[in-house]
Amino acid sequence: MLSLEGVSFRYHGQAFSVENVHLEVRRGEVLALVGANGSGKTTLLKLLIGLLKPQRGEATLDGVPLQKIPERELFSRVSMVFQDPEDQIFMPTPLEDVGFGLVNQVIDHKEIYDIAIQALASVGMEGKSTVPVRNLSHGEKKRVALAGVLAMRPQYLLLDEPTAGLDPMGSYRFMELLCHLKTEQGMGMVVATHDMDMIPVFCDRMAVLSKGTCIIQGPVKEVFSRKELIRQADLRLPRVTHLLEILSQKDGFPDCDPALTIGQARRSLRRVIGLEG
Amino acid sequence: MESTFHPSEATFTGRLARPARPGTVIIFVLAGLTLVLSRPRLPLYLAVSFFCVCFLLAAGMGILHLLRRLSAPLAISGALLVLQAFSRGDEAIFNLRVWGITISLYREGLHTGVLLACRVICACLLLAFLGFLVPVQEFLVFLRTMKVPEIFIIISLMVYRFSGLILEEAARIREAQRLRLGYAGFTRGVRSVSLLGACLFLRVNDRSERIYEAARTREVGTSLPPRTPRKWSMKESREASLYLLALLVFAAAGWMIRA
Repeated sequence: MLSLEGVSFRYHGQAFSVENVHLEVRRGEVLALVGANGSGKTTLLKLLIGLLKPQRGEATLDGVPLQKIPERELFSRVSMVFQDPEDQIFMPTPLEDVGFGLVNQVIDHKEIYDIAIQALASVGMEGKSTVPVRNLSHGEKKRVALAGVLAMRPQYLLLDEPTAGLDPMGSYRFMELLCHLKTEQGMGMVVATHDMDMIPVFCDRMAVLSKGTCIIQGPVKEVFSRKELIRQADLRLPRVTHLLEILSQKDGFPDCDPALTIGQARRSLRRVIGLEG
Repeated sequence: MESTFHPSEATFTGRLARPARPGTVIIFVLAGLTLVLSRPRLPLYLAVSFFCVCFLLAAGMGILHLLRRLSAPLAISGALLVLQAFSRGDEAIFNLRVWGITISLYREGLHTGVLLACRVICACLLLAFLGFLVPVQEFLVFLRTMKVPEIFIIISLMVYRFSGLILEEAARIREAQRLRLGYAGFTRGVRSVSLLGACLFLRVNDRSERIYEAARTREVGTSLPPRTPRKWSMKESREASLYLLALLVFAAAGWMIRA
């Protein structure tokens, strides 16, 4: 289990960054981290991977403080995909970039090639393994960045706004890929995102950040039922939930069961208009 | 619109106990640099360095902070001193035999080395004096006030931006390497640093092209207003004269000590 226990961190000269946050993510679980811009999502991810040291509290991996785990072991078990793939990719081609971490894990060269190609294939980039990185699109670079960390087979994956800048289908496929990794490899994930519609589809739990503090966390359905807190954090409900809310409040539509996804909304509406029992 | 010096919390200048006026500091530094770079006199270097250090400490800067910022020039000075002292001159102060090789410390080399090292430290201290006390925007406003050609101001601003870019890119690449075990062990660390060096300039070049394009779309090149020029006040003139006088007193004291 990867966790933060009462963690506080403040950048120099700032009023707050992260204040007394308790958070945990287990293997095989996806935790969504939501909050307005500057609410401390990226800071929290960096604290979870040990790039920043908490000024108060403790970040632990399976009960062991991150500071006590050797860097080599820590970064083999926990990995992070940055928001901007340009920050992450520094080698000239995707194949070399994905292989960088593997070389450092002292793996045989033949094996490195196989794992790197496999990782690129898992994100649908095997056909562009030797294309210069500067010729790739933003979405392709995102996939390469993900392949780079997947190749290291971490137990926990931290993703900073993974769908930002991707087209709708691209972001859907990206999240589907993450779900597949969760179920197939039992990877634990923390996803910092603004995409409220994706959360009910792909995430198990969510935590809402506001001005550096975690104002609520729990199962996705439970958190979205606290509408006032979601709005207080300058966020919004999933569009489909919002639509049902408007139908009920402004158009006198009978109260439906709460719905967060299109499938749930469809069932609720069918029930209301008598198509389903 | 008249520009005034606004100490900001985000910069070192904002944290100084007593903020300085940019114009006086710039004139002092220019005069100091001219003196230091044109006159190879050890007492002059020591005197000017002493003045800069005293002023920065009095302005509220911590000695450790100052040392940290000057660590690079100090290391370069040390390397210069060692290289000169052991490789230049005829009159050996002492000889040392290590594995059949004679290493000699030369009087002439030592003298030149000390002079060079002090000159580097003194010049860097003067630049640090300028850098710590004057925000870059104020420096550019001063250049404009002094009727420095616009293109020179633009180039200065670009140089300033690009030096930041290099550091930013280096920090990002290093973080990405670190997360993929690039620094887990000495050999990997060396390999990662060499890779970082190799791709840093390509990355900076890429980013600089993008910044250039962004700058062109905002018509940088026809006018660049960090802030509009302002009038040179009598108070600043008086202060500049006092600074220069202090510099001359220190220089004279240095010469007298030498004599």
